[in-house]
Amino acid sequence: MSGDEMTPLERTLTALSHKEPDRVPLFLNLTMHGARELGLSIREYYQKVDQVVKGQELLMKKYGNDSLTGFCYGAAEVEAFGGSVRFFENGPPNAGAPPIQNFEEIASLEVPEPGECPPLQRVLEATRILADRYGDSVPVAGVAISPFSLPVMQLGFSRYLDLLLGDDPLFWDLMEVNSEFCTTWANLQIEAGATAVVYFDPVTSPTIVPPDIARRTGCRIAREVIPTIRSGVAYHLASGRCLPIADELKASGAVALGVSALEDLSLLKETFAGKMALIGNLDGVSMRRWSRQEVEVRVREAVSKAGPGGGFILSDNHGEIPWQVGDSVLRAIADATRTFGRYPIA
Amino acid sequence: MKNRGDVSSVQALESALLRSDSREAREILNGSCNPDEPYTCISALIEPALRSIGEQWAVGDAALSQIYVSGKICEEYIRSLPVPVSGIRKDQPNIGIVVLEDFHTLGKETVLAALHASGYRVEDYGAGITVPELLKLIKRDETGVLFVSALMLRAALEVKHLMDGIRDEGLSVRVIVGGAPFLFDEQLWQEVGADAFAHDAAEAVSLVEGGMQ
Repeated sequence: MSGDEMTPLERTLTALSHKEPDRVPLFLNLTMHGARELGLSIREYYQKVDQVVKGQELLMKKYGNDSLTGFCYGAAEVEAFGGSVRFFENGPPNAGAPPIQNFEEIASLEVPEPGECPPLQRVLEATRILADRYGDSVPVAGVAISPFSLPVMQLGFSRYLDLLLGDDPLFWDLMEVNSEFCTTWANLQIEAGATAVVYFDPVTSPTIVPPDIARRTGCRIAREVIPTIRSGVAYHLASGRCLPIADELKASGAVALGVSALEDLSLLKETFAGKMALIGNLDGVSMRRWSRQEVEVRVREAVSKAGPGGGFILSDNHGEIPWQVGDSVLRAIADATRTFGRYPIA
Repeated sequence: MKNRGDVSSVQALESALLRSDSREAREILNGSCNPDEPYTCISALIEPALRSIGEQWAVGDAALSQIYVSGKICEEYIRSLPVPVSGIRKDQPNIGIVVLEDFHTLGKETVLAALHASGYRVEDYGAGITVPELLKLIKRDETGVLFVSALMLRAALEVKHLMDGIRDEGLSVRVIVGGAPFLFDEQLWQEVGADAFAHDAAEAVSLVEGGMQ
């Protein structure tokens, strides 16, 4: 922890401005690990706001994390649409069976009020407390699933692709509902004190749909929705590739981009330099097995490729570090960031 | 003209599939295949085209939706032939496919379509199935090959419990895994004790064929 000259907020804002802060900011996206710190099951942990707040505080202190979040789990958004959530002992809660069983239901689908959905209320309250306590020195991240990606949970992935690729006008009806929901939900988090919002949009990635389809749909929707969010926005493709739609991402209005371990960080840096700050791109899946030496090699490589000139936040590439990643790896990442991420980057 | 699996036909089919042009793909298949010999059509034309699309996805040159749609188009063609799908592969093992414990079904649907398009009969065990439930299904159906699709790391790690159960109960089933966690961490399939890992749907098909030889 020693040697830091800036607060996490100053460090992050400097990096987002494409300037070099004291060191590369580190965003350890730990949404579940707070349960472990408190000796609770993941299900128990998410039921009480004070537990989520405490978990975030403990993790920030333990690893010197440069960000906080009231975000709990993505499937909470589909609960607002009548969906269910399944909890597990060793991983993030998943959406249960899709709440929209027939495409015809989309025509009469109403925009739910996110502020009336209990799990989302808890996110807002946690955000509010974290922002009150730390908002002047630590960025508090909000998260909103994009209108284009939410249907994976609303309909199920394959049925959603059938709707999307079938040129069904109901697709645009659903996008209208989801866009209003996304804007409202994101802005509620901003009102609660979130510093910025992560626009979580994996389906727009060329890993999932071809670039020409993404340009007509996901990218277009992002360009319309992101400006309605009253804060800085980070665009996140959740470990999907981004380079084939780089121009569209740059035009989206987002200031930062979550990038994948599947793409070369040097090329990403060159492509987005001065336009979007990069967040990434440590692979969370293999991370649980990394030795201290491997951590150092990977952190050093990432900061040397993307760190110079600023515009880089070191993070995992998915936006959520798996439960299976243990304390020793997280400590090693935090230590290596402080050793190798200090500016000027060696 | 019939059952022509030359390079130009494969490329033309691949191009139509990548564009999700089902009408052109159907015309190519109708023009190139002898409906009385569907297996020859599958091995000479459909499988090479699907394999190439899978390889393009692995390096970022194709999208998952294109693999999904390509499999569906070919599956629909095979199902339209005047032979029962289950009769195309006479010596196939009992094949099952499942999503363990969650509802991320795209990978399963994609592999299922490719298997159907290759003439295999497959028991779809659905999504949200637990390991104990799956073990009962394997026993009931005497499953010889089981495909397990996973999107989340937690679900992928459940395969280890499945393999423990298979061993403890003395079941003879070959487990082939696939999905994002296995792609990001290529040691994972061995760590959980699976018998094989398929990068994409076409490779999944080839692994069944490899196991039959």
